[in-house]
Amino acid sequence: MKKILVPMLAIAALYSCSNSDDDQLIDPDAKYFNGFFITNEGNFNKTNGTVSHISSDLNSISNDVFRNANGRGLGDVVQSMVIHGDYAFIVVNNSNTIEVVDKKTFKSVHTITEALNSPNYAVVNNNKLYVSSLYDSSLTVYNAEDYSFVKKIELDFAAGGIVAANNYLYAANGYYSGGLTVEIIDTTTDINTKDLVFDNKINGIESNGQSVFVLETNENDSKITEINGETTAKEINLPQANARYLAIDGSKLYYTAGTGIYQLSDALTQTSKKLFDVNIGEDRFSMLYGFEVFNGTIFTSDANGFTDNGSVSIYKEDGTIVKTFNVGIGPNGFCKF
Amino acid sequence: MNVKNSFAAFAFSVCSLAFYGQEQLNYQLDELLIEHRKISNQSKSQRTIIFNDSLINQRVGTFTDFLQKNTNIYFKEEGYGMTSSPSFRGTTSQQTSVLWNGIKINSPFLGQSDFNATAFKNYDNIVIKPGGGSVLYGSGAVGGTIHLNNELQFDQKRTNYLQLNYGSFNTKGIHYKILNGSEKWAVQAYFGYNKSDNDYEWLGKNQNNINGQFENIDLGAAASYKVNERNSLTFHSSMYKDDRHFSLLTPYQTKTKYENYFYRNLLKWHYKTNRFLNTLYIANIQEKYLYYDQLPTERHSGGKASMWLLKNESHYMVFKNWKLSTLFEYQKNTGEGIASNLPLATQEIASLALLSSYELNANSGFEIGLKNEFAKDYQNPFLFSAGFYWSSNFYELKLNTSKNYRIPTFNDLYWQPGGNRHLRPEKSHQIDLNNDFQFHNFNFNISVYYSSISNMIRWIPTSTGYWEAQNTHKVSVFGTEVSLNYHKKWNNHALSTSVNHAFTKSTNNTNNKQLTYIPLHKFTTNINYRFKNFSIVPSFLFIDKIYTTESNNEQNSLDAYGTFDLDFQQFFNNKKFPFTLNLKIKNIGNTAYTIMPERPMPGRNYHIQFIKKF
Repeated sequence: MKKILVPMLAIAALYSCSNSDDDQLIDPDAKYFNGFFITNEGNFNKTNGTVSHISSDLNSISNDVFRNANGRGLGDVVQSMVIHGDYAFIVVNNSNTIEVVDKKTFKSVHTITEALNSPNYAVVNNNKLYVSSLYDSSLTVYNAEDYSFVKKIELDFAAGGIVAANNYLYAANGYYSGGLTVEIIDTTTDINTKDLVFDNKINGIESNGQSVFVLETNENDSKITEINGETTAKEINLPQANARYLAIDGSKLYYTAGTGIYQLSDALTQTSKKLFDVNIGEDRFSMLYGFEVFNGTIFTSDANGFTDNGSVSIYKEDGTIVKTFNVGIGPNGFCKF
Repeated sequence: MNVKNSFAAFAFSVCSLAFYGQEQLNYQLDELLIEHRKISNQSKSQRTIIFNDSLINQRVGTFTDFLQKNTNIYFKEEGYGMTSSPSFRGTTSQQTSVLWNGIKINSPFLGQSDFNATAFKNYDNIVIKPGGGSVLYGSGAVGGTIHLNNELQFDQKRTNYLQLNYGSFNTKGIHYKILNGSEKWAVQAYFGYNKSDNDYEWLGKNQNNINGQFENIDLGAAASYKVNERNSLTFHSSMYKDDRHFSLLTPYQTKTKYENYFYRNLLKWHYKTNRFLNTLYIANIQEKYLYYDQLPTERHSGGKASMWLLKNESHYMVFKNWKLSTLFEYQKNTGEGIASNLPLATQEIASLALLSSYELNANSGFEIGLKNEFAKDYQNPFLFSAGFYWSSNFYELKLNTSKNYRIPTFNDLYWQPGGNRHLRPEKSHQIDLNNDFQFHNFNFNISVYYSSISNMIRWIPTSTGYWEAQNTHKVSVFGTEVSLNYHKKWNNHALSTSVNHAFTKSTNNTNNKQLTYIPLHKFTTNINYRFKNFSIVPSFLFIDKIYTTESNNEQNSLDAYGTFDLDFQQFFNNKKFPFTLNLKIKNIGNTAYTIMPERPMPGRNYHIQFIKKF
């Protein structure tokens, strides 16, 4: 075995040498050049949150990439992750930290700890990192380049999802706690300029960079509303109850209801069509804990009741499974490289 | 012999038989007046293990620490002194029932007891009873029961016990108890206080345990009054309060803490004739917990509950070898969240059980029990137990089978959203064979048991976005418990050793893997060697590897570990001021270990204890 291995290593070394003849400098630790990251929140109070990476050809997976790069765990409840240029901000909710990593090596370059109280979601706009809190009715703002704390923006409610479009930031209050309000912040002044109140609890908010779409829902039906700037533009009623997980991919919107995956155009002129039902997990309960769509490929995750590693299933629009991977505990979200 | 004489002889023998019979009946019933005897006596086909006050007095630390090192029960402790729940014979925390002077005290919110929020030093004895006991003790008595007893004694002169302890991590404790008794009265009162900074080093992690400090106080009193030969009244009252910070997992985490409050009151009325014993229990138990999730702010949530219990136990000796018993119980629990999603809820449960115990001869007999409960919001299975026992000079056999259950908790039923009123109780069938051998100074005991548990209640994330309580999988448990004891005394020496091993194969029937947080092997041993007034007690605990994921992923498993403790004790027999000093070294090997992931336990630590009886 050793005899075979040595020449192979030599060839590999030659290969990488010839690669480095190119003008571009490649960090020898760089491992990720494309694909998708998955946040696995882990069990509450168990510090076993992780990040996984799936290659863009959907052929391979690397789990626990943060620990592999840094020799330590990420922390307790990895809630979300956002990419900004060459870096990724990973929000670790119950550890009150945001890990800043080089997205190619996944090595930590900084750990933000200041002014964080149960951070939830993050978004970058105007070179600033905005972070929502599970408990505090405020956003904390950091310089997205040097990670220094800038200020706190007071809100009326604690925010769940936050997204940005143009020079506005939209903070939807309290996912799954019946929140009805989207608070709008002008990111040039960082002032909360307007609040939009909806009729039903907000279960999703997404941005395509220009417009923002809000999914509200109740026990009978659901509604998607488009916001442009500070005003609502269009809306569409949807017959599904308890719709969740709004996603945007190009000009299409996606959401889920029960085990069904639904799709509609972002023109909001025609009602949605059901694409398929996701496969029901072994325990029948937790088949949809994360949902996202990239280039017409649908990513879903199953948290497996949090008693075991979760799995990610990737579907085509016709419902055929492209791939299923085992990931970390409690996969809750996806993020493009 | 003439007719007259033979008649007299006959009459005499009948009389003496009747007299003997009465004595026997009385004796059997009297046993039932003493709580720990009653526990053994009501289930002769099951093993009971009794820890008496002399052992309890010599221990410092948490109740978890005490039981982890002295029993086969495995404890999941979230770091030293933090929340702790048991796994008894491979079951869940809700499937172990804790009884205080005969009254169950598991929290109605979670269905379990936190063994680091339970005082243990003030009890006169603690009884561990492995195996099912739902016919006698109701919901939760699936894996086994733990009984905390205060025993009142008449005709006893005033005695005071004082214990003071101080040790590593600024751990201090004071425990005081007074007993007194006359022909008519028996009283006791106790007080206990523990406090610790609990800031031990996380071995190999370059960090200390942050925000792990705790303190607790318990006090209580009990009195018994013999009204006349037939009637006696006993009253128990106790309160407990603690303030427990929850140690941080990561350094920037928001600090949190718990506060627990328990108030327990119990009135017992015994009525006794030669053949009949009746005990009426009236109890009120109140508990409150507050969880501060944003320290140093005052923001908190919690819950409070009140339980009223009316229980009547009747035992009737039909013949001197046949005892019939009935248990009637009515319980009304009211619970409510404090700034939480638990609306005010009330649970009413009534139950009726019929038990029969028949002695074939002095060495063997059988017993049978039937029970049905009546409650709203969930279906109640019919429960039973049946057992047989047989003994000779050196061997004793106990065979028991039972059907037991665990009802859904307040949170399982009523939490909004996710509480599920369509839950069925968890249900268990089990069989248990116990063999006890006695040769001279050796005692060898082996139990083999099998139990199957269905309708396991679990909280699971649903497609509507919140978690919901559901009946899920089935579990099978096969296990063995072996204990070996040896006692010997010679000249001024005394040696007593105890070795315990538990093998627990507890599997989820859906994937046939070992359940999470249950070690396959647990091993404890301690050797007590005494020379005159000096004792040395080395002890050892081994816990096998545990899995934290259902698929038994090796990567997420926790390593097996073993820890050594060493106690030295000296009794100073001064005429004017006799006292005992006890020096303890815990985890003498300074072993780094965790019971729950990322929750390091303390390294070597020292404690000194002063014990005074006067």
